[in-house]
Amino acid sequence: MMATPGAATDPAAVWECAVCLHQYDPAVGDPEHGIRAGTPFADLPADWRCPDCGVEKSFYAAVPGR
Amino acid sequence: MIAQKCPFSSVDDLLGNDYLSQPFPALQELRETAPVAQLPGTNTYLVSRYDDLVTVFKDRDTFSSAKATDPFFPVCPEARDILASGFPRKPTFTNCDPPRHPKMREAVARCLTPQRWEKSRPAVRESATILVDRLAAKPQADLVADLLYPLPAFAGFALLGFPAADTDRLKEWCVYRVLLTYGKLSPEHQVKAAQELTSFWTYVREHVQRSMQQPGDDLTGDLLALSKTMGDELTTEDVTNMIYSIALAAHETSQNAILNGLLRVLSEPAQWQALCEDKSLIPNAVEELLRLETPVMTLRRTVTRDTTLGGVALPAGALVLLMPASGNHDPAHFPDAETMDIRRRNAREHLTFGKQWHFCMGSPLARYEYALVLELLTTRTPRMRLVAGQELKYLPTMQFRVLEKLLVEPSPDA
Repeated sequence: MMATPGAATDPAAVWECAVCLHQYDPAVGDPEHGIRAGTPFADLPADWRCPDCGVEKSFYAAVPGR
Repeated sequence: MIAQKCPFSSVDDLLGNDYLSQPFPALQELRETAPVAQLPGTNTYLVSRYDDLVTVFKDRDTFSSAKATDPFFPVCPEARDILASGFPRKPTFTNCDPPRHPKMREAVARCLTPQRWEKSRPAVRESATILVDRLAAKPQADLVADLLYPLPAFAGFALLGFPAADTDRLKEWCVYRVLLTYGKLSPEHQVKAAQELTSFWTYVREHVQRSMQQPGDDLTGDLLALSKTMGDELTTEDVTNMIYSIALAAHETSQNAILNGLLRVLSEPAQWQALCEDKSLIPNAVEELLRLETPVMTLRRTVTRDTTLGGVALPAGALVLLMPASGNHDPAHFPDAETMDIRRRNAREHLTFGKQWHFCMGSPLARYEYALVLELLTTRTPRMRLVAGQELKYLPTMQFRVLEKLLVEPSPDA
């Protein structure tokens, strides 16, 4: 899976963790960790981690067409 | 509440060939009758339902990993002495808790980047292509010897910077390591295994020392470079321990995951045919096969404080055996769970790589190898079939489902 420029800048884009394939969907957010629905991936706090495997945001890439 | 009655009479039941060749009926009974079950006469509890497994995976304060890779069965004094003198192992990311665990894991995560995986792929693909081409030309092949012993070993050892010429002795050491840690060896065999493990340890230590002099473009070099910036947070000794851990994890589980999956998909010709006709199905088929045929039968945690799981009281000090193979077949999470459905929407929610704190950091490599093998075999040997009537033998270990041989006819009508 590769990020595409269009998807990466789309605030509604779904992002996927390269390690565990967890998908961050802005429409859902990450309520378990205090992230409200409607929060784009780019607006996640710098210390936000993948809720399934714990890696940093830099391991995520935008999913084309989602 | 007390623990429900366990359908297994002892832990030895988890080592038998009958169980390992077809574990799922027994696991279904366990889930349905005693999802958190105390093994009779022991302080050991089996956890088999998906939701309970996730609870344990996520709660590292109550469920410690500190003893996760200790030998399960007692080691005889002579073997213990050999290990004590020649095997100065320290805990790493697989077998420790905070505060050490996050530091170890962070270090590995900073080195196992998407770029590192991307860089490794061309050589893995080239190696796989050569192996599959050779295999395809044979009237009968063993998927272990001809493909899944050499391929994950090549990929895993190259990642660490181990010379390819050392593959056979490294693989042999790994078998001793699996058997001493997760099997039930006689004292005589424990001594032999302990000797082999000290040789394995010495090999890894010398490899790290060489890499300090001449860093390679590999994970060992990356970790050593990182250690220079982390001071006491990541020492050379830590790197040695990490490389020793990864020297098993980087190939053994991939080998067995793919083998168990191929056995399953080749047993279901309609699913195999669908993959041959539509390669776009392969990524999700990988997830479905990881779900259905995980090589990971048990993982261990130790209860740190009195707690309750699934309505069952667990005392501090109890040993918990997590059973991902059962959670992956839990119909409460995967409808029609025993059926192979390569289009299953939530297949990737399997627990084969664990969950959260100890999630397998090497999963991108495992998934790549799995998809690559399916792509090459469905392209080069679409008529491949299992050799009928063969006896399937599994290594007697309680953690991994290790198939020793799998015979196929690669091109039966050619």
